[in-house]
Amino acid sequence: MKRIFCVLALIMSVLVFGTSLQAEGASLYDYPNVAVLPYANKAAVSRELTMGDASLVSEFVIEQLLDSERFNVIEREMLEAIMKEHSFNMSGMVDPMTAVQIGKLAGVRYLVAGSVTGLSTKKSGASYSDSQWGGAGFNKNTVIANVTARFIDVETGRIVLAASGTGESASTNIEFTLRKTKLEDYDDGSYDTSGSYEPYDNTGTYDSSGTYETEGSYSTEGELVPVADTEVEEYAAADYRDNSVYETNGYAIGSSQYFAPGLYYKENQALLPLATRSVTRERKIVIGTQAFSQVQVRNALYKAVVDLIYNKNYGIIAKMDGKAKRRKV
Amino acid sequence: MKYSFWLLICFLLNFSLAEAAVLPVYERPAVAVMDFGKHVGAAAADIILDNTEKTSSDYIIEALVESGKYDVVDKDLLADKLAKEGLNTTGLIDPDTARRIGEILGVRYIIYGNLNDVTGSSTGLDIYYVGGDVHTVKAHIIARMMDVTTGDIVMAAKGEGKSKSAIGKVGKENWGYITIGTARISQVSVHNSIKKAAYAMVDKLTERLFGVRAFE
Repeated sequence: MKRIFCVLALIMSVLVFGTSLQAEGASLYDYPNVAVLPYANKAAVSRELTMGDASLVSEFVIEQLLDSERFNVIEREMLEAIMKEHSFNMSGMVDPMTAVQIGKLAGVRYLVAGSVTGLSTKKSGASYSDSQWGGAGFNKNTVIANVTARFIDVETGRIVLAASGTGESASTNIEFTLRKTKLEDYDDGSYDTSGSYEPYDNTGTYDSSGTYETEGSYSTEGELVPVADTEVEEYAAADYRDNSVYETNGYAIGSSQYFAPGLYYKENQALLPLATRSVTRERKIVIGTQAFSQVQVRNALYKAVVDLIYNKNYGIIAKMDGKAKRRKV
Repeated sequence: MKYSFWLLICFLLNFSLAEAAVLPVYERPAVAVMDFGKHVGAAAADIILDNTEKTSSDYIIEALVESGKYDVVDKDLLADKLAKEGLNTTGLIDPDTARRIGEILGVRYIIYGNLNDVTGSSTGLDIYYVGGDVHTVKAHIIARMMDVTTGDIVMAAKGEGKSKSAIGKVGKENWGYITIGTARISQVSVHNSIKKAAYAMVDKLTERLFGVRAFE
């Protein structure tokens, strides 16, 4: 009798113990009914991107939960039908409390709530550049998305599982830059090259203030004859500016004075630097995608959801199966 | 003797179940995470901080659940009810509000606080024709855990998260440069630093409450 009593007691204890373990596990591990709430945007979005509505992520989550074959996902349409039947407000799906009530009516055990927690860009690459000739580079534009999910027990409001995932989508381009820099003369206002005139009679008086009067013939018509082509000496005393441009590279124009390479003009037999400026012209050839695109945003979000479910270290399935790694901080 | 042995086994099995049902306060406390606030004044100009306080709250919830040491109640399920009563659930929370929040959510403890700062810095090194810059983003989260029944702050913890990116450069002005890496602070680093700060904070909080770390 004692033996029977003890055996019965042992069986009862094992049953009670086993049931208590199962009660904890059965709910989440036994193909539970889940409903996915619309995702929220809680991300600091990079300037190059836009993120209006995060609800497309909910669709990705539903798809992946179904693919995992671990959950029975209650479709929103079914929930909406129940809402109609029970005269709930159709817009109530965004209200989690209403969702709990609907979930209970539809036999949903867990609500899946989540958000987009990151949507960032990263520019990286390798390049060579030269200020004179240009350069070549390889650029990688990456969009990185982060999403989270938490499984909420509708009976208790407790979060029984939480995870996050990261997804990246990159586009690349190769860029060649051809650069050419040259010195160009330009009108700096001190020298009028707009008119045309011919050498003039320099018998007049010259005023050092800059005005010049001539008694001889003077014309603003015709073409300027460069000093180099005329008798320079005849005009030596005059305030005369030559329209010719001289290029020097060291000692030049019969002078012992050193001139730095550049462009000059003659004035009163002196060689003066011409007003010049450095003009750089660039030609760019780009092969590939230059800017961040919305396609990348979509792809990064999709990959983030896949990572959220299947990441072998920290994903939902790994956590459910007890295979998740302990995180390092 | 044999019967006594089996009876002892039964007793131990049942006793273990009975003990599991009655938990001390710090053995899996019921907590709810409030909406964290942020101190934007401390952030660098090129860092975008919109929504980062919400990001912090999400990762703190994830870390608390992942640690397995807490019973985390989802505040969002009752967000409407909290809002209807005009209860502030963001940033710092006074004991009276906390008590009411605790009653509505059915928790004894709330965890609240701020994303204290997110800062960015770039440090570089140039030796002859080789150089580089390391961009570092640091985030700090400061959290408090309040017993809503007494209004006492039972524990506080700070978590720091760092995220780095770098660029290497070889060359000189006349020759040209070869560069490899990320040219400037990226928003990815901002996100990663906040996530790390959330996990670090929960790790520290858990260590102080339970004497064991939540993560490695």
